Amino acid sequence: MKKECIAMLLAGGQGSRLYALTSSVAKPNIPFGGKYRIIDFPLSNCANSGIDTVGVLTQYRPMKLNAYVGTGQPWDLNSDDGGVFILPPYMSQGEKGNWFSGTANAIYQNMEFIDLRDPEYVLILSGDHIYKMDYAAMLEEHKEKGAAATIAVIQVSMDEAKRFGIMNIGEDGYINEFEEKPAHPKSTMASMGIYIFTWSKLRQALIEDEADPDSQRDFGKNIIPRLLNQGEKLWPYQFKGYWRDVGTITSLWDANMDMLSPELIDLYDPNWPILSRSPIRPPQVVGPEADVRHSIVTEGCVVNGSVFNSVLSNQVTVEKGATVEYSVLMPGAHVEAGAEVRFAILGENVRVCGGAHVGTAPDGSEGWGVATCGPNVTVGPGAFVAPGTMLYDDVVAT
Amino acid sequence: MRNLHGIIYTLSSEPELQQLVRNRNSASLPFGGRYRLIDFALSAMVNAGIPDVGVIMERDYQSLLDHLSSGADWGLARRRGGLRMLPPFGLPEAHSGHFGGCMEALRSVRSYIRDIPQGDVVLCAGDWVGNVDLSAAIDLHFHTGAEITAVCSEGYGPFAHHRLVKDDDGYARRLLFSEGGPGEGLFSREIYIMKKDLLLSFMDFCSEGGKNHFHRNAIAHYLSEGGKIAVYEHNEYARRITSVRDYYDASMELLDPVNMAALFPSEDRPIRTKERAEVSTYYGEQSKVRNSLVADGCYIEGEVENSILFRGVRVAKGAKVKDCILMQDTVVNDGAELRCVIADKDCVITEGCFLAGSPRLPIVIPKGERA
Repeated sequence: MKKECIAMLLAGGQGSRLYALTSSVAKPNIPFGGKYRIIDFPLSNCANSGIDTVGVLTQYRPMKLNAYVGTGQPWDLNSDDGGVFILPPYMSQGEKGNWFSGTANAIYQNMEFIDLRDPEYVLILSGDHIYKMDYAAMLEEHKEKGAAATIAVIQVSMDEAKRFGIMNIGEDGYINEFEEKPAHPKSTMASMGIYIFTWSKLRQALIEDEADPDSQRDFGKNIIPRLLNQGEKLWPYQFKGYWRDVGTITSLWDANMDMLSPELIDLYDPNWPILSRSPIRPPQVVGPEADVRHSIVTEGCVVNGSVFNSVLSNQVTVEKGATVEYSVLMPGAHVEAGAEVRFAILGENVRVCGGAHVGTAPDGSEGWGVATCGPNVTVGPGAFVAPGTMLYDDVVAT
Repeated sequence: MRNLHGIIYTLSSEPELQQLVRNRNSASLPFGGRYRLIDFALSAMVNAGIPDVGVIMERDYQSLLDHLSSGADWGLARRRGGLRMLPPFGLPEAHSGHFGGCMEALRSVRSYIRDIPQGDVVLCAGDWVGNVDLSAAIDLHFHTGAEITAVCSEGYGPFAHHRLVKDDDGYARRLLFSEGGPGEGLFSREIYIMKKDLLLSFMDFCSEGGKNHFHRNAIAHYLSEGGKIAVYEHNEYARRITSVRDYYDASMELLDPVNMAALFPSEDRPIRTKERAEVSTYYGEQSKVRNSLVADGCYIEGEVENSILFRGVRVAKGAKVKDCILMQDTVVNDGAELRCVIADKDCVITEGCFLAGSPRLPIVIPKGERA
């Protein structure tokens, strides 16, 4: 069935800078903001933008992500003529088959999937950003400007610009230069890693790039510069609003804390819901001894301790006399009576036993950072997990 | 998957539920922060692996249709079988749409029951709160080879009206009626597993002479003819909700962790309900919430104590809510104070409003009203 625009969601990256949190799941499957997983944001944006066909390119540890995405029903993407399609690397006749060797190669290997839908345009998304965006408005601008590619950009500070792919703009408003992480940025217009391509142009560029032995098969490093060199029109789509890359422990923690400030990103907007697949659990129980302030809490939680400035996913337990501050607790985390958790991320099903301490408030010291406990870790009674720690295994008191 | 067919009957709006059933059948009464009463019966069937469920509806079934929709949230939206909604289609022309009892409800869908492909059915009332392990009851039914098996519980209360006296061999041969007080035997949970042919014979027997009641007419007759009923005992928390007072009491009973554990025992027998696109609940910097059951999507900046908050409820800064039940999307504005209030869906409590009922006589604010 012919589609005007389909989306390809790059969800295969390991997310190695999240360390223990991605030791057994892909980054897009990381719980976020209480109710969600990271991939809920691009999938919901697609559904809300009227894009009903989404290919999800998976590679690293895909089992839980595949199960989470399922038929796409929670995002209303399970229609007869659209749908969500998990696209892992596969074998072809006479070849051994190859892993995706870069973002562009992942799309190259799935050209047949795109060709079957014969779209005019292809939207390329990544699975590690928190934002609400109307891709339909971006597509309108892409068409209006007659561009081969439209790149969503956001204004950053001159200092931050050094960490992003930066677009330099000519007098006509089109992009005339792209610099990856420039030492001396000429502009503060940063690429958000969201692209709309006219499919015929992208298709050609992918084939040419594949033939180039020196290419890293990357959209930012190879495909965009290639189109620029060929004199194609590249248009920057200016995005205003909340957008965060959550690829590191600090940025993941920061963005979770942002969810406590509804003025930053309105998740209550009925016209742009962020949808998720929720386990079937009863309402949250706030016990007689509980003190919950400036926090978000999700169904299935049982809270009878103190919770301040924190984000609790479903089925988290905070026992009477436990304290949780400035922390992110993923599904099933359990903080026993008398335990204290501060400035920390607890992965799924982490157990912090009585009298244990995880993390501390910032103290200006060199080694300070958010303390992180990987999934299923038990912090034994009375144990101390220092700030900045990345915990992969159980610890006991020393 | 079980080779049985589920039938849930949702009898009319109990008059004692007053405004709570003004626009709905009592089976679609919101309960426990995110459920409707029918979710308990329907989930029990789904959790027992029953593949097909018919829901018989009386008048005022619009909210029930809306809630159940395709049945997808219970895993019952299927190409073969699954959920069937049964608004009355076999009633005489002059009929008011109000059933005199379960047997009349069944008669209204006689051809549906006749065509049920399975040999056994589970018949279940739609207005009980409880989490029965129906799978174990079905095992007993097949194991004993009984024609009919009843789920019964110990105890008494306004819901314990029909009582079965179990003999030493595990079968009941006597049916008693008690008005509220303690009595002999076990009370019927209004869940029966039986041969489909037996149900059809009940319907034939009750087809004339105003015999509309399942217990008083069909079961009493069956036992008088020498029939016997296998009894499966379920002695966990169970309540039938038939009045505002029942509703308030049963809601407040949820604040006892023992009852919560009985209703939501484990991931094996979850109570399923209609999913909403929901956010986690936000607790504001000055919020003070104690001893309450709170669904997702709430926004709480004020004080809440001993209360049940449904999805999407907002409690503004300076508002105080104590001993209340606030249904979906109700808003309590700044400075308002509520005690022993049941606010139905979409109510707005205006700034500075003060309302206090008592546990015996809670104030009910009807759906969509401003107070």
